[in-house]
Order: sequence, then structure tokens, then C-alpha cells
Amino acid sequence: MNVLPAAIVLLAFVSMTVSAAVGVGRERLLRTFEPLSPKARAWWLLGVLSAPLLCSGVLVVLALAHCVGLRATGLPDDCTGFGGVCSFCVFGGADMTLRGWFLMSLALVPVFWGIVRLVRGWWHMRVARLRIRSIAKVRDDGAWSVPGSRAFVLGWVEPVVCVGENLADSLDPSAVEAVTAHEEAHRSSGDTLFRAAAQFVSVAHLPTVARPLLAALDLAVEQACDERASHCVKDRLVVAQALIDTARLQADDHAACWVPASLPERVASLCAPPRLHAAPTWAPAFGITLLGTLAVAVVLNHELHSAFERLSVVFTR
Amino acid sequence: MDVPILGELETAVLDDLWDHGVSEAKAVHDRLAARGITLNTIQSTLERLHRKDLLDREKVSHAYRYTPRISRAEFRANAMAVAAGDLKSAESAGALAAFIDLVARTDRKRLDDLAALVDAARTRQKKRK
Repeated sequence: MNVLPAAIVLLAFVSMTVSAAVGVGRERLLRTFEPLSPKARAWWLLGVLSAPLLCSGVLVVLALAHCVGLRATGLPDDCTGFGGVCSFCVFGGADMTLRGWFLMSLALVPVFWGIVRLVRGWWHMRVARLRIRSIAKVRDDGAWSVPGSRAFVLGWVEPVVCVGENLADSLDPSAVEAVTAHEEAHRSSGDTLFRAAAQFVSVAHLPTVARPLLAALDLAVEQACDERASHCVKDRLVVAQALIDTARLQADDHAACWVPASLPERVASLCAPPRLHAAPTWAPAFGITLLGTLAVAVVLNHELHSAFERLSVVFTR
Repeated sequence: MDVPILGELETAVLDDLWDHGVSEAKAVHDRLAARGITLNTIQSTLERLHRKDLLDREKVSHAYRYTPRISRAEFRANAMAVAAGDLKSAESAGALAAFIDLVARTDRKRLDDLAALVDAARTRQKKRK
């Protein structure tokens, strides 16, 4: 029999359960991360965002590892020992039922949506980059000078810093330096790729849980670059003032005043002393989730595998 | 206005025409001689730019004389406006990181309040010194 639909349905079920658990403890989690430095907070949030995918993936792989191992070494499958009727656990020949196909497709919708969003974003980024390249003036520091009042970093691989001419002409030189240093920090730390990864792994979360976590991650990433910019210009308040001035300029550009929701938090954070809590990054952020899941997978391995078998019987002809 | 995406040579030719005004292919070729490209290449580039509605042309004797249809500033502003739409979509997939972005509406009063916060912090900083 074919365990593919059972694996994917269980993957979705575990993802949703983990996501719901994260959703329940979200406020508490965000409060726990608050004292951390922005960079460390961003990594922890990425860990939380990837928890459903990580947990469900590890559980499914470990539940099937026994059979895959036996098949790979050429030994006969002993799945019947689990109380089921499965003899070809992973590489089963039986066809899936319509119900199996339907549930599997349903469970995969968020993943397809995540891929579509990534491809769409990549395409628009490529087109925007080609379009901007033909009108940009390359500055001495390698950044592109573009019309308008925006400063941004564009691209996943070899990202490029773009600084609006209106911005460079209207702001104080120290503010322009702060803006450029902020964007350079985004470029050098590969934040565009980091954000894309975060958005992709968040497809395994319930949308209502993922949205505030992604917003918190965006804020942490921006604050990390604000910190690096303030280190570069040696004055946190210059960066804070540059943020406000840029928002004002953009407001003039667009008739209505548009400012990110995170602007007050970023300015307030820059007006306060820096947070020195910088230690933990990716290792503890992912390690805790991974170890917890491994423990659950080992303890419940027998039950998980039986669940696979029972579901597989339902989903195959 | 739809702004086409231009290649490197197309950009160089258009830049040359913006700098020097109405020109024939031969004159453009002479000015871009340092690039080591043939007159034919320049002619086909001008032809492409004409087809993209960026150049007007009139036949004088045996040769065409090309004129930019829009000014450089107008072209750059239009191209940036069109690119802004792509940037918005790129942003949703995390392919863009902006210093300040168009996410939520707020009023100028809020910006004034934030500026006051920065001023207060600066005053505190000076006092400490």
C-alpha cells in the first residue's frame, strides 16, 4: 500500500497542532524574546515559524524510518508487526483512492501557495531589477541611485542597495549615511533571503498565527539593521531622525502619509539604550524544537507508525 | 505609460541621444566608438528603440534622424513608477527590504510625536555629557 497520502495528511495535522499550540502561547513567546537583541530575536522567531514544518517532518520521517531502512537494506518489511496489513510500507504498489488524492491535495495547498508566492516574488523582483538597472546611476560605493524617496535592497542572490535621489538630496549627510548603512546591513546579512525563507516555512502555520509572527520577525530584522546603522554612524538618534525624515519625505511623495506600523517601535528602541543580550542565534532556536520532536518521535514511534498504517488502509484501494 | 525594459546598449544609445539631441545612426556610432560595436548594431538598436516607441524618426536623404520621444527625467520617473508595482509584489515574497515602506497609514501628528521623542532623547544625552 501507498503511505504517501497518510504521510502528507499526518504532516498537515501535526503542523496545525503545533501551530495552534504556538498560537496559544504566542503573546508569552513574544514577551520572552523581547529582551533579546534584534538579531537573536529574528533567529528565534524563524525557529518558531519553522517549528510546525520541522516537527511534522521529523515525526513523519522517523515513523517511516524503520520501514525505509529495511527496504534499503533489502530485508523484508515487518510492518505487520505493528498490527496493520502493510507489506510495502513506503514503496507500496496499491493505487490511492479518490479520498486519498483529495485529502493529500488539500493538505498540500499551502505548500503550493508558498511556492507560487516565491516564484511570483522572484519574477517581479527580476523585472523590477532589470527596469531599475536601466535608469539607475551606480554610485562610488556600488549602490544604485534611483529616482524617488525610497531606499531598499533588492534581490535574493547578490542583492543590490538602491537609494532614492530625492532622499539623498533632501536629508542631512549623516542621515543619508545612516540610511545607506541600514541598507548595507540588509545586503550583507542576506535579509531578503532570510525573509523569503521565513515566509516560505510559515506556510505550515495557521495564517492567523503566522501573520503576527512574521510581523515580529520583520520588526526584529529592521531593528537589527538599525542597530548596525547606528554603530556605523556612531549615534543612535541620527538613525531615529533619519527614519522620521524618510517617512516625512515619502509622505510628501504620496500625498497621504504612509508609514510602517513598526516605525514607532523602531524609533522608541533607538531612543533607548541598546540591548546587549546578543548571544543565542540559530543553534538554540532550532535545537530545542528539534530535540523535543526527536524525543516525541522516539517515545511514540510505535503509535505513529500504526497511525500511518491505519490511514494508509483508508487511502488506498 | 508602459515603460519597456532596456538592455545595456539600448540604454547607452538612448542616453547618447538625450545628451546630444537629434542624431543619425552614423553620429551615434561615432560617439559610441569606444564600445567597439558596428554601425549595423547601432542601426538595429535605434530601430528597436523606435519600435518600443521611445524614439521618433524622420527620413532625411538616405538616412533616418532619431529624436527621443520623452525626456530623460520623464522616462526615469515613469520607469520607477512602473517598477514600484513590481517592487510591491517582490516585497510580499520577501525579495525586498526597505528602510521605510508603505505598509500602514498614520498621520503627520504621529511623526511629530516621534520627532519629539527623539528631541527629548537628544536633550537627555546632552545633559548626561
